[in-house]
Amino acid sequence: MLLKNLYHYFLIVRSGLFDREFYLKNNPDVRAVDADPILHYIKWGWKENRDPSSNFDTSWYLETYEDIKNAGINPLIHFIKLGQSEGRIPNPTGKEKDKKSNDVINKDLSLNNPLAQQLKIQSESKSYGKKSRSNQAYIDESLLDIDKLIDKINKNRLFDKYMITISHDNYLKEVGGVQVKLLDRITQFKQNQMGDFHIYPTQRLFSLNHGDSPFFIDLLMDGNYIGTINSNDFVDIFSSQKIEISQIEIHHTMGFKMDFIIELLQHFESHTKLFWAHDFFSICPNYFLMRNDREYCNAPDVDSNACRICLYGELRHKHTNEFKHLFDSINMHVITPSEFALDFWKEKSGLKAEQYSVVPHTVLNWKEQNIPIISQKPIKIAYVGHPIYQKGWHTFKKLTETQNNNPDYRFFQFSNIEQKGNFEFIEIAVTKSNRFLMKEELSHHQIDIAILWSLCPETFSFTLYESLAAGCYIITNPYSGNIQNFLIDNPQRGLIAENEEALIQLFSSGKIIEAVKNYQNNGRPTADFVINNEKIV
Amino acid sequence: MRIFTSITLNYLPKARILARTLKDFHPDWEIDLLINDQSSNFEPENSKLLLDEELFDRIIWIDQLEIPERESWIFKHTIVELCTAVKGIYLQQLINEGIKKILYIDPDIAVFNDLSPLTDLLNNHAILLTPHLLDFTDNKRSIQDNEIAGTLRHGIFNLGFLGINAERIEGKKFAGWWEKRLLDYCYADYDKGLFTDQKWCDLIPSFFNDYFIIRDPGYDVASWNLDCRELSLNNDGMLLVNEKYPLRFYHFTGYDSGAGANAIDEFTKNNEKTIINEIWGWYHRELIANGHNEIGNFQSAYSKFENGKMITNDMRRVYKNRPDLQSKFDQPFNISNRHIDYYTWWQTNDPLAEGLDSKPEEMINHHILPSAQGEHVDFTQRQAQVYTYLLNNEKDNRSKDYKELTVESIDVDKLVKLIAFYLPQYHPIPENDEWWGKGFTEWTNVTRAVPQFPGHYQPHLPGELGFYDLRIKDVQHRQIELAKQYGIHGFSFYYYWFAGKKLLALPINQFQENRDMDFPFCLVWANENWTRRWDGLENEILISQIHTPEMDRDFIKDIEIYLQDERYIRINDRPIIIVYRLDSLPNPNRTAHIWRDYCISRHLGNPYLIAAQTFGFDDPRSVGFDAAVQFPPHNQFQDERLRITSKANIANPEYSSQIYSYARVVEHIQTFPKTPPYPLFKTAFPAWDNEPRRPGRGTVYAGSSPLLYKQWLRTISEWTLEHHSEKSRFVFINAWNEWAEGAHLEPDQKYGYAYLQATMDMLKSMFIDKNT
Repeated sequence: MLLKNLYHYFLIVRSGLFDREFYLKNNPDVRAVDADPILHYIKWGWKENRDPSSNFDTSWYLETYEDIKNAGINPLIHFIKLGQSEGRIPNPTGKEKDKKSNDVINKDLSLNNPLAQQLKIQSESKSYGKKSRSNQAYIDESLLDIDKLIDKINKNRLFDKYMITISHDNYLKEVGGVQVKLLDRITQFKQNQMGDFHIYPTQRLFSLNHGDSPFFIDLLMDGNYIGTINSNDFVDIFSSQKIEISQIEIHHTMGFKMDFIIELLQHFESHTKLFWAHDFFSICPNYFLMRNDREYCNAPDVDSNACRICLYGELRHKHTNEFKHLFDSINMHVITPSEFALDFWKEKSGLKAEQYSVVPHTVLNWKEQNIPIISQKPIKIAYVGHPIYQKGWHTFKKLTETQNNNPDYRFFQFSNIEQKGNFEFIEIAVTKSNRFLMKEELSHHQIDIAILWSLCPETFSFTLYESLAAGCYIITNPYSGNIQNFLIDNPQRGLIAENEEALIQLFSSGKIIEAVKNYQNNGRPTADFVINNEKIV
Repeated sequence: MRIFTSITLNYLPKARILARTLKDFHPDWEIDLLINDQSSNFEPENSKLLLDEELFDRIIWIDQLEIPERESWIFKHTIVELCTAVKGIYLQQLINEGIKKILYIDPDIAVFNDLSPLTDLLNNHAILLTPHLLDFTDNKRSIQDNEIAGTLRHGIFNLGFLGINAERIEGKKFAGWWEKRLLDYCYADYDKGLFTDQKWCDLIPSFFNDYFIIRDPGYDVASWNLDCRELSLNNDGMLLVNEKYPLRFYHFTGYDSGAGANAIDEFTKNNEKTIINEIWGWYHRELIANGHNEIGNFQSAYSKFENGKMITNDMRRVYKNRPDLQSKFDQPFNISNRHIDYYTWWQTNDPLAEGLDSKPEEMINHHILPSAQGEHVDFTQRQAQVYTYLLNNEKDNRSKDYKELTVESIDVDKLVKLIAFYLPQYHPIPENDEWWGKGFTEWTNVTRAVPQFPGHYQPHLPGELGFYDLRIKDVQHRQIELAKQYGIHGFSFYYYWFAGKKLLALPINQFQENRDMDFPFCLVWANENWTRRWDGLENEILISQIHTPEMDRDFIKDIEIYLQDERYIRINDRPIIIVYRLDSLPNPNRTAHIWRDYCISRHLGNPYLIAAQTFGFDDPRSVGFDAAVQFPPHNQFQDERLRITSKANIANPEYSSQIYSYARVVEHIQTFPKTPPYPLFKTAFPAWDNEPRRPGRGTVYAGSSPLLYKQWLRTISEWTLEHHSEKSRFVFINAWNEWAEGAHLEPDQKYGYAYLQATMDMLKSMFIDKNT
């Protein structure tokens, strides 16, 4: 009965400087013998330079304070009893790193969102009272040769007329709805003998660029990379080379300096200016409109409590001011992919445009004959699309967990990224050359139900149209925007569950089986999925 | 409206958030920042520059306040006490300046919505208060944390907020009263019923008329009232409390200590989506953005002496309690080359050892040395004083509580059965000869102990039985005779069995073989390694335990001979086996299983397995055992609150251990009778002090007496009567004869038979009380 050790034990427990989990994690040998980590540290650990937590560096303490080392005493005990009050520090940084975190925001969720990461990095590089360090990518301007660039433009020039398209990235390299739409637009223009200059920010950002360093853009001409250019020089190219620009289309402004866009649009004042609202980035930098990436926020006033406590609230102030500036300065023609999106945008953005249009990305050509197809048990249920929180992935996963071993159901995940769970993964890598893969695979696997559980409003939702074309019965929630809107207009094609509990209840009670049978009995409509190339101007 | 808040510099980031969020709603309200620190402490250049650009309308340093004997007054207060004590002074100062409507708001509060209803309230009332709690739940944790600890202990109203209208008579009257009280009594002294400025305000409803208690739950939301205040957001993004009240301000209490985050964690355990996480996440980000990483760890200038050495609470307390020191050192923070300063005085004196604390223990009371107040006394002088004292006062070894051998014997039914632990190390064995020297027994250690402080009872010298040798049968006969006479039910022999090797087995064997030693017994397996230090923990192992399934079987086979014995102690025909260190068994479930199988197959009865509450303890049933037995002084008996080390005049400069108060232990046991969900046997010790085994490093339970022991025994016996059925009403005593741990019922020279007598008296009085 070594009472001193017991005393030390209690001292350590009370100090809160010992992290049992940390110790066991870093010392598998201790875990293996099932020893009490604190007792182990008292008996052997400190002599073996093991650390009691990430906050206390045993070997560093002993090396730094030779008197303690020479005294041969347990450094942690010394720190607790005396060291602390003597002003000695527990580790080279002098700070308690992982003291019970006050950052109680659910990190798992916001880590999904690259904007959250960007903000975190920006706030870490910022020290109070000092000017924010620019996180501008380093570009050696001396290597940028404007003459060479102009040369290249002249060599590549095929058309008399050109349009300028603006988006956040290289639409040929990246995959997504915006990129596909851009490709369609540019192809369409080419057929009308019009070329395209496409610009995107050289440095990838997930917000607007609010910095004050020089701003660089990358330039594509009819899909060919021409070069990187200081945004200030961009307009001059057209004046000096007498290239006729007939139209400007903004598909996304992420990563741009708004001032640059405004100057550009003002320069080509009399031209048609289309503003495509593919998502709600013009309402909030977190275009999912989810407060702290947790919950749909309904885009309240930027001065509201909700925005105050939101990770993106402060940025939204600057952000919405920039958009207001843009729309105040320029007469825009705003295009949304759905009626829902337009109404929502008008209400929540507070921005005024000169003209509005709705142009869906796709239309469905319904097949004339509806054949009643009654699925065999089990009913096949699929999650369709990116497996992310904002799109309802967690809810789907929970559903599969609650219905584990229910022989009535078989679950699938139709995505580009595989997740683990009680479901089968079907890899869907939609490419620009294979636009119909999702629909084909859903049909091929005879999926009965598509779960489209976006937690925030969709402006369009390709997956809705893919699922409908494949004859799936749709299940969604009241916040999913255009999906929910579609079901309100077409109630026979699916249902809206009030919330996650209601969704699970549908499956647990078996009510969903009845609903699907009814749907399929009345003929299971399928459609062809057609790209919409409707002319806008 | 005038607002003020009170901080030390490390709280500036918090105050900035308060100011900014307040100005968002009330740009015309003026905010004064009261800084209880020295401006010279504010060094980092950028921060210093920014101080001029703060959102505050005025910045007031504590040295601008009118405080009599300022330095001395400040020194008496801890930082928290200081920041609250100045509130009264500044409030009065504002009133003197003619300010009418005043709010005090804690720096760790943030405003979320319009506060103009406060203006209206102040038009009609002199004093505005926000109670910690407006409603209750019957949740145990909430009762404990929020009602008992939060409110009954710390005050009904939260003084993170206070509103005063000085135009109303009662407002002025309150300010005058409060200022005076805070000047003299703004301490966190729970024993005296004080808690800073806050507890005083419990008196407001009695002393004043014109007060108003804000019952709108949107004010002063904090972790202590979250139980009854549900947060939500409406469609417009406004934070609401209980669905209808706008959240006016939130109090981020416990941010730095981590207690706040803990409370939130606890609160959100089952509801991960609650908005409170988001609010704390925001506050955290805001603090970082407002310089918390840079200045949040600043130590106040008033936490240190001029030379940078930290001021401990003891230093403040002694200073506070001694007017002589206050007049001698009127600038207590200062360090002087020419005069003696308080810091040097503290280093060269040992004021804690002078027993000058507010609540001297009984044991210390008789032994206060002639005080050397304020004089320079070096340690050798002090030591000489202590030893002179010892020589003069400890000559007569007999206590006033000494009891002679009685002719009576226990003659009533024993309502509980007392089992005393029995140590066999009172005969030489070859192993001990080799490890410790020829002829080593427990007496070798017992006799070498010397007192470490006045009032320290050492050495314990045996009475009637002398320095006995257990090879002599008559000794054991006499032990049993005494035990029986005084009402002990049986002995629990320590059994030393190391992977088949038995040590010190002579006494138990002798006992077992002699049927005329007619006394119940059982075994406690001392299954720890033997080490150089008598503690089972250190590296240098003399003989070690091996715990394997084979050994489990060998052990149970080995003790079969005892389990068969009709004298063996059983509960419902189940022989009891106590294991001293459950944590040493790699797989207690397995061990239990093997033992049970074996005993049942041998018709010994399913053993009743008891785990001693020694190291790393949990519910014994979770590891296949039946019950637990307390093993003081292990576990809760070493609680910090039981400690009185600082109150003893320790003579040995090398002394390095802890002194606990036996009286506090008994009080603790009586105040907090613990009833765990599993079967538990309780244990008392007559005294405890292992100075003999660890010279200069022994743990002492000072101030033990037969009377206190009797109280302890009675308390746990009553408990046992209530919580155990008749067959299992056992109470343990540590110990019959642990002489080297000062724990023995056997008679000694100082107390004679007093502890045995106390044991018998307890049994008798308990019987009489139950039968009349």
